[in-house]
Formats: sequence, C-alpha cells, structure tokens
Amino acid sequence: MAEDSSGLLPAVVRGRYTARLGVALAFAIVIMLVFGAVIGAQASGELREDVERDLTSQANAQADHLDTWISSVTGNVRTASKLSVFASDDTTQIKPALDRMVDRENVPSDVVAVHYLDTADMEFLTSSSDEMIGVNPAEQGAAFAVDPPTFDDPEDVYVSEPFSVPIVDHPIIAVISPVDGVEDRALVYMADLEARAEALAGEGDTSTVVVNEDNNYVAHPNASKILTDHGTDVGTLQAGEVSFMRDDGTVMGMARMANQEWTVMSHMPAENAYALSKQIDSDLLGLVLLAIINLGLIGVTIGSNTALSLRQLADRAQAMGRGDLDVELTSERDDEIGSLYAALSDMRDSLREQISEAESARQEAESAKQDAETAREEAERERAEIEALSSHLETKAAEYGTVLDDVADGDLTCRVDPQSENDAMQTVGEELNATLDALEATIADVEAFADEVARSSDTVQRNAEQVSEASRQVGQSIEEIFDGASEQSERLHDISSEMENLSASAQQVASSAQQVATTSREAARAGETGQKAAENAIEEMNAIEEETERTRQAINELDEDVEEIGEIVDLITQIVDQTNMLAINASIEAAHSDRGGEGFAVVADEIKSLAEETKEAAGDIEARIEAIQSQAGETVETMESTSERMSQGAETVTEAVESLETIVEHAEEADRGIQEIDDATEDQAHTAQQVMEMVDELTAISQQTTQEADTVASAADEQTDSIGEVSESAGELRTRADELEALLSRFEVDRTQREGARRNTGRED
Amino acid sequence: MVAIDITLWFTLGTIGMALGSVGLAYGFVVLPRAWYRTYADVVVVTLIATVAYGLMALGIGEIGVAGGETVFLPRYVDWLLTTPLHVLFIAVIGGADRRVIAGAVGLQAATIALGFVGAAVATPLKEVFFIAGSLAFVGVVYLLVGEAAESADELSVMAAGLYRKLRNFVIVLWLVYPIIWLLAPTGYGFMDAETSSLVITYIDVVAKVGFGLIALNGLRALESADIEAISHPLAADD
Repeated sequence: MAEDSSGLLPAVVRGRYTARLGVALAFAIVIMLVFGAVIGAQASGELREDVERDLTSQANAQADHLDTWISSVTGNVRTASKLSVFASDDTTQIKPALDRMVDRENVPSDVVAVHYLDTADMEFLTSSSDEMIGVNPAEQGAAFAVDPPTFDDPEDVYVSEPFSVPIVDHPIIAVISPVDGVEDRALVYMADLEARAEALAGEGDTSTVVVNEDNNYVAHPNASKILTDHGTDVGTLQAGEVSFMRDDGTVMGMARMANQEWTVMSHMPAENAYALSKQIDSDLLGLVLLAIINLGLIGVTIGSNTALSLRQLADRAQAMGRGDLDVELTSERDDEIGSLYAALSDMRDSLREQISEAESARQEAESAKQDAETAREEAERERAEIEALSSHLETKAAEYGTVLDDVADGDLTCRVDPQSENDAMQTVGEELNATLDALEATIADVEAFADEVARSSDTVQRNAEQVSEASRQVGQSIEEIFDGASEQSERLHDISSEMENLSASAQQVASSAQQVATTSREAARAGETGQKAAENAIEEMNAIEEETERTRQAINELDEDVEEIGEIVDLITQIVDQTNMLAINASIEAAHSDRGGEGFAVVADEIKSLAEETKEAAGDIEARIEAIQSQAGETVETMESTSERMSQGAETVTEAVESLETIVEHAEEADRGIQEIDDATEDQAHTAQQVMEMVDELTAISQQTTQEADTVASAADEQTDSIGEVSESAGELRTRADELEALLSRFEVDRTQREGARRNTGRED
Repeated sequence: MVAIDITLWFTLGTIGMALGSVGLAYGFVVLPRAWYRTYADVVVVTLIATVAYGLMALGIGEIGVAGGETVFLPRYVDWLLTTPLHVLFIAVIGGADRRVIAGAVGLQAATIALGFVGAAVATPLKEVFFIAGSLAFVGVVYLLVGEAAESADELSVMAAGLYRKLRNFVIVLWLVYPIIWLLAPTGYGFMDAETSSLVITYIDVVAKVGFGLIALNGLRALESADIEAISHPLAADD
C-alpha cells in the first residue's frame, strides 16, 4: 500500500528499501492496532449491554418472586383469620391451633410465628411461640403496635414495615388481619426477613437487596445492613419498572415491586461484571504484539537481508562502473538476488572478455599497418628494376623476331644470339635455338619418314589382299563348324530325353524292388511262424506217444490182474465142486438115517443148489475175463500201431520244420538281394541324373559354340571387309606420303642432319 | 486436556528453547573448531533460557511485589545473563574494541536490572526505573549502531553483513520488550499475566533461537568464503 503511493512519500523513505519496508510494516501495525481497538470497543459495548440486561432481568425476576411471596402471606393471613376457632376467643383452643399451623407448615415459607393479638390492649393473648405470649408489641417498639392500623373490613390485611425488636434476633415484617366475629382481636404473621433475604440472595458474584420507599434496606445478604440506609437514591420507579445504574465500582439492576413500594436490586462488582471485556482487551493486545513481533521478524530477516544484499550489489556495480572489474561477485543466496549476483558476475566476465578482445584487435591492426608500409616500398623498388629490364627485353625480342621471320620463310638454318643481361631472355634465346635445331632435325626426319611410309604402304596393300583371301577361307570353315555344332546340340537333346526315360524306369524298378523286399520279409516272417507251430506239434506228438506208452503198460498190468482173477475163479470152482460133493454125501447120510434125517437132507439140497449157482457164476466170471483179456490184447495192438504212426508223423513234421527253416533263409537271402538291387537302382537313377545334368551342360556348351561360331563367322566377314578398307587406306597413304614429300622439298635443311635423322628413324623402327 | 494457562506457555517455552539448543548444537558439527568459542555463546544463551523456562514451568522463583503482582525471577535472571551475551556476540562479530564491548555489555545488564527493579516497585518509582532502563538500552543501541559499525566497515563484506543482520534483528525485537513490559502487569496491566507470558515466551524463543540460526548461517557463509575465525576470547568479558 505504501509502495503504491511511493510518489507521495518523502525522499528519505523513497530512497531506501528498508525505509519503504519499515513504512509498509508500520502501516500494517497501525491498521492492526486500529482494528484491535475497534474489536475491543465493540466487544466491550456488547458485553456492557449483556451485563445490564442480565442484572435488570435478574432484579425483575426477584421482584416478581417477592411479590408472589407477600401475596401468598397476605392471602394466608386473610383466610386463617376467618377460622371459627379464632372467633371463640378461647386461648386454650387457639394456642394448639396456632402451634399446629406453624409446626405443620400450613403458613408460607419464612413465616416463623403466628400471634393472636388483642388490638385494644396491644397484647399477644396467645402465640405459636411460647415466649411471645403476653408480650406487648408496643412496648417492644414494633411499628404496627406503636402506630396501629385500622381495619374497616374483616377482609383487610395490613403489611407492616420491617422492624427489629429486642426479643427477636432477626428483622421482621408483620402481616395482620382482624379476626372475623370477635371485637379487637387480630391474627399476626411474623416473617423472618433475614431468611427471606437469604432466599433472595443471587448466585455467584450477584447479590440481591430490597430497598423500601424510605431508601432503607428491607433485605440484604448482610443481615446487619437491613433497615439501614441504602445511601444511594434509587430514584423514582413506577411499579413494574426496571432500571440500571453504576455506583462506586458496583453495577446494579433495579426493579420496582408491584404490590409494595419496594425496589429489588441486583448488585454486582463492576470488576467482575466486566472481567471478560478486560480479558478480551488483554488478548487483543497480545495478538497485536505477536503480530508486531512477526512483522518485525520479517522486516529484520527478509527485508534487512534483501536490503543488505542489494546495497552490496549496488556497491559492486558502482565499482564495476568505475572500471574495477575484479570486484567479488558471489552471494550465498539462491533466490532472485543470488541470480542477480550471478547475472552481474556473468556480465562482468563477458565485459572483461570483450575488452581484452578489443585490445588484441587493436594490436593486430597496428602490426598489419606496418606490414603494408614495408610492402609498398618493396613494390616501388621492383617497379624501377622492371622498367629497365623491359626496355632491354624489347630490343632482344626484336632480334628474335627477325630470326623467326627467316625461319618462317623456310630457312631452318638461321639461329638467334642468346647473349642477354636477363637470364630469362637468355634462356628463351637458347631454348629458341634448341627448338630450331629440333625443328630442323624433325623436318629432316619427316622427309625420311615420308619415304618410308610410301614404301611400307605398298607392302601393306599387298599383305592386305593376302589376308583378305585367308579371311574368306576362315569364314567358310566357321560356317561348317556352325552346322556341326547345331547338329551336336540336337543330338544331345535327344540323349537328354532318353536319359530322363532311363532315370524314370530306374526309379520304377527301385520302387518295385522295395515292394518285393516287403513281400519277402513277410514270407520270412510267415516261415518263422510255421516253424514255431511245427515245433510245437512235434512236442505235442512226443507227449502223446509217451502218454500212449504209459496206457499200454497200464493195460498189460490190467491183463496180469485179470489172469490172477481167473486163477481165483478156478479156485472158487474147485471149492464149489468140493462143496457139491459134500452136499451129496450129506444127502446120502440123510437117507441113511430116517429119524430127523429129512431136515438134514433139505439143508444138503440147499447147499448143493448154492454150489451149483456159485459154479455157474464162476463160469460167467471166467467167460467175462476171457472177453476182457481178448479186448485188452486188441487195444494194446491198436495202441502200438498208433504209437508207430505218431513216430512217423513226428519225423514228417521234423522234415517240415527243416523245410521251413530253409524257406526262411532263402527269403532273407532274397530280401538282401532285393536291397542290393534297390541300392544299385538308386545309384543308377542318381548316375542317370548326373549324366542328364552333364548332357544339359553339353547342350548349353554346344549352343554357345553355335553362337560363337555364328559370331566368329560374321567377325570374319567384317574382317574381310576391314582388310579391304585397309588395302584402300594403304593406297591412300601412299598418295599422301607422296604429297608430303613434295611439300617438304621446300624446306632447306642441312643434308647431314637429314641423314642422321633418317638413321634415327630407322633405329626407332 | 491441557489447561490453557501460564504453565502451558512456560512449558512450550521450555520445549522451544530445548529444541533450539539441540538444533543449534548441530552447528558444532558443521563449523570448524576455530569458531567453537565464538559460536558457543549462542548455544549457551538457549541453554540458560531452557533452564529458566523449566523453572518457571515448575512454578519456582515467583515472587510477589508491591502492586500485588507476581514477578518471575528466573525470567529476569535469564535476561540478565543472555542479553549481554547476545550484545557481546554482535560486538565481537562487528570487530568492536574492548572499550565498546565492555560498555555495551554493561549497559545491557543494567537495562535488565533496572527493568526488574521497575517491575518490583510501585508508581511513581516504577516509571523512574523504566525510563532509566530505557536510557541504558538507548546507550546499547548507540554503541552497537554508532561505534561498532565503524569497526565493522573495516571487515569483509560478509562479516559486516552478518554483523548488521544480527544487530538489526536484536534491536528491532528488543524494542518490543519495553512495550510488553508496559502493557503487562509489570507496567500498567492492560494485558493480564497469562497473555503477556505467552507474548514474552514467543518473542524469547524467536529472538534467542532465531539469533542462533542467523549466527550459524552467517558463520557458515564466512567459513565457506574462507574468512579467518574471529579470535576474540569471548569468555574474558563475561
């Protein structure tokens, strides 16, 4: 803000960055102070209003409270005074009633005693408080007794001013109502003001007091102050009105009660009421101070640093301006000021560089100037020399010109005088003479050469004709070669196609051989299988043969057993015969003896018939054994013939096995043979392939030969033509050589030289 | 919940000073040995302040004075020791001669002593001592700005820069102290004890740790610029 209006600032501030910064910071501080003051004032004002509102509303509430209490007391008195017990005027009845009222708390709070008063004699006839019975309130100085109220109506209630009596240790107010139906009797409620004041006392720092219309305290937290003067005039408030005032370090809210001419006041020490305001002011001050400290810090660190850096930079720049380019230009700062230092340092370096460059350029210019001076002098001296030389050269050149004119006229024997003061001119003269020598010799040579050419041309013409003839012959031969080569090429083509056929059939053979090989391998495998089967059959047969042998032996053994059985049967037959004999004897004996011999004859008959049967059975067995024996004999024979056949079969099978083995061997041999055939066929195919390639190459070569022959034929034709041309050229050459000789005859040359030249030419040939 | 009261400010002051001491002790790592004696000055300052704030946080050294206010004895003992040390450091960096150094250090000690008496007595003696203390501080400023600046002009640009920086820092911040003194209960009580303690704690930490950091930074810059260590024996003047 301050910077914006820098034009308005005094020069002292404008000239210094720190001063500007200081002004800006001071401005910020002033703004902060003003705002702090405004905020403090606003807060204080608000707070004061709050305090006023709080205290007056508190006073008002307490006034309402007190009004309510007094109303309840008066109402209670009025109601109680109408009770019939009080109209009886009998203290023995009234006393217990009063005691009950107080004890049972049928009276409003803080009403401590109820009295029955004789208003005529001003004496408490009876009371809830025993010590008050018979007491004369007027003697005690109670206000209501000294200046008694008058009641027009039983409904009337009188509320006394507060008062204090010696007999009671606290201030009192009395509420009185006449008793209905009895003359000069009244009911008196006595309320403890101190207790009431305690109930009214506010919370915390607030205290509530009540002041009556005479400006005396009616209630006060400090009981001793009750009935003393308040000191400050509370002013005149209408019933229900509130006001606020401040006095001697105390703030107070006041409210006028509705029923009594009393004013209820809420007091509070001003210090406590405004403590928050003070705290806010203190905190604002602290805040402003902290801000000032921080602004000061910024000013001192950032501002002061920047100012110092800039001032140093300005000093350095001024020193550079004075021409001191060796000033120190480093800063430990990395910010814009650091960059400024770096930039200035770069500028200084580049300035230094440019100055040194300018210095060296000046020195170079001076030395160049000196060089130019020397060169100019040199040039002048040379110009003089050249002038002298050129006149001499002109003379000499004229001399040379004359000689050369003579030479041009054909006299090649003329020579110049090369003697000159100029080396170059002398060299020119000598060279000229040498040239003329050479020219003379050359012309002589050319003349000799022309002769030679004329002679040679004749020879060439002759030779050329011979060559032409030969060429024609060559041409014919080549034609023949061409024809032969073409034929060869065609033949080779045929061979190639035949070779291809051969190669194809070889490949076919190879594949057929492969098939045969496969078949023969399968035959070998089948033979092996057959061989194994036959071997198995032989083993089986051998086993059967053994088995047959064993059966045969068993049958023979059976035969022997059967023979033994036959012997046993014979024995049985003999026994039967003997038994039969015995039976006959017995029957004979029986016939001898008559008594009892009949039974015995029966038994002998029975035995006899048994023996007969046994004999028949043995005969049967014998016949069967014979049948078995003859059958076993047949069986043995059959088995023997079977065994023989089996042996023969086994032999046959063995022969078959051998044949199979031979077959397998042959099949394997066939396989090997076929493999060889296969390999050979492949080789053959490969060879055929190679032959084919060769034939192709040959074909290509023969085609090339044909082409070459063609080319050579045309070349031979061309050659023949060329030789014709050569022959013509040789003729022409001869004519030219003759012309040359005629031309050269006009040059006059030394003949000796001419001979030498001819010799030279001859050597060079 | 930490109660926001005067003890909290003193505790925070203790922590701030302790952290500052640790941070500044790092200077011994980066500075060469030749600077140790000079640099020890600023570290001793924060260490003294740490002890003083620790005592105040523990409630030690509170004394009641004439106006019923409380004066914190450790605070004045701290100032009596540390502010002359700062003045000494600035004068040494500025290359002042012994006469100027002794004068500035003595006047600074007198400023604090007079301020303490002013805080302890009641009006009108309070004002008398305050004015006397202020005059002593004016004397310090005169010696630092007038006399020591002349000798500083003979120093290297960097040393002179450091001297000016520290001098301006101290003068600007210390000018706030008498304002606080007047506003606080030590003066006229516009600020309560809690708020003024907060403000004083803040400015104390900033002034002492900030001074140390500027000094460390400046000495490192001098070191990197290869300027010889200032070899005044600091201890001799204490």
